[in-house]
Amino acid sequence: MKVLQDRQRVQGVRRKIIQVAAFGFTNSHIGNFVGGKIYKGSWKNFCSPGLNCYSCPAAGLGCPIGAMQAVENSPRFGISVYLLGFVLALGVLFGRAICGYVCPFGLLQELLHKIPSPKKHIPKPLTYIKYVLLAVFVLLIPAVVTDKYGIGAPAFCEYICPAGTLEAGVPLLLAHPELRMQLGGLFLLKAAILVLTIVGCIIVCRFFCKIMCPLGAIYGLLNKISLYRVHVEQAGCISCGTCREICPMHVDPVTHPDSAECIRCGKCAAACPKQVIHIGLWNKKTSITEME
Amino acid sequence: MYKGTRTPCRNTWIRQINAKAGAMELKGRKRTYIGIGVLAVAVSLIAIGIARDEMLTVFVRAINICLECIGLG
Repeated sequence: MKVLQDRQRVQGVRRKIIQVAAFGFTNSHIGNFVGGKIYKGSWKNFCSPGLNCYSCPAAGLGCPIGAMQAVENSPRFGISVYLLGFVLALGVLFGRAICGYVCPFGLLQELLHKIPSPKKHIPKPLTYIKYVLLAVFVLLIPAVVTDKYGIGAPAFCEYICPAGTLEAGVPLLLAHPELRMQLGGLFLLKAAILVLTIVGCIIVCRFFCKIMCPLGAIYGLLNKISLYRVHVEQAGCISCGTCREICPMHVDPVTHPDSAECIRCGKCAAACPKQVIHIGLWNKKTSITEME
Repeated sequence: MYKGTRTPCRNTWIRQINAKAGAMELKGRKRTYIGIGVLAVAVSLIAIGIARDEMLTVFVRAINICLECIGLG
């Protein structure tokens, strides 16, 4: 029992170290918060693997969802093959392990969930909302709804993204009184979504990931073919249900190891009393030898 | 006697488990090939995107304050 607890603790600490390191790497320009500036260096040619607003003063990398809409907006391109390739490559390599290990907003949500409060599960159908948001606000509206210059609206950033409101909106509005003068109904809408998301994250673990994240939706679809995957040795499983109970995304890894909701956090593997759940790049051989 | 009665049953069970494991391994192998194929496509898309200067659009967007992200539209 103690060995199992130690294993869970080590796995938890290791994951948290990776999450904090990824958060620090993605948001390394903390000094910019003081003057309300944003980083303008060459690293902004590249995107972070997770959701992180590029207008956050500390951000050193671009946001894949924001950048995807920006390229779609452009009358010159129509569709962003660079970002499609970028997200596809990361998704097929790691699946939603990106959400579990390197997404800065994922770490913020996990910290919010540590605030003491009644904890709830969300009904499964609500998890499909993120696919609708991806299709409508990230892919459709920016490509179809354009102004007289042929430039589309980055609809997800503009009307929904609570990460943008929190990471860019709040610090930049605090630092720039001239921006505060322009606040209107749109900001109220985004602030309301941010408050809803924060309250949601306190009550439901990774509320934004489960319901709203379009990047998580893409990585989730790629979980089915990702090379970094969950593998269960069915022969050794005693169906105790420990893995299902400990999963923060409410996935049963024994029956659905490729679930689009699985963030590959590894809690199930660490908690398994029989050590039959493995997470890695390749399948393990699981056949057993017959008795003579 | 004990061994004689238990072994055939256990072997049947082992065969069933191995058949399931074999099917999963085959599925896993297929999945690996599909994954590698998609990865190759993804790398090609990145190369095409860079060739048509999409990175510049990403860069220009990322170095300017995004008023939509803030909620100013």
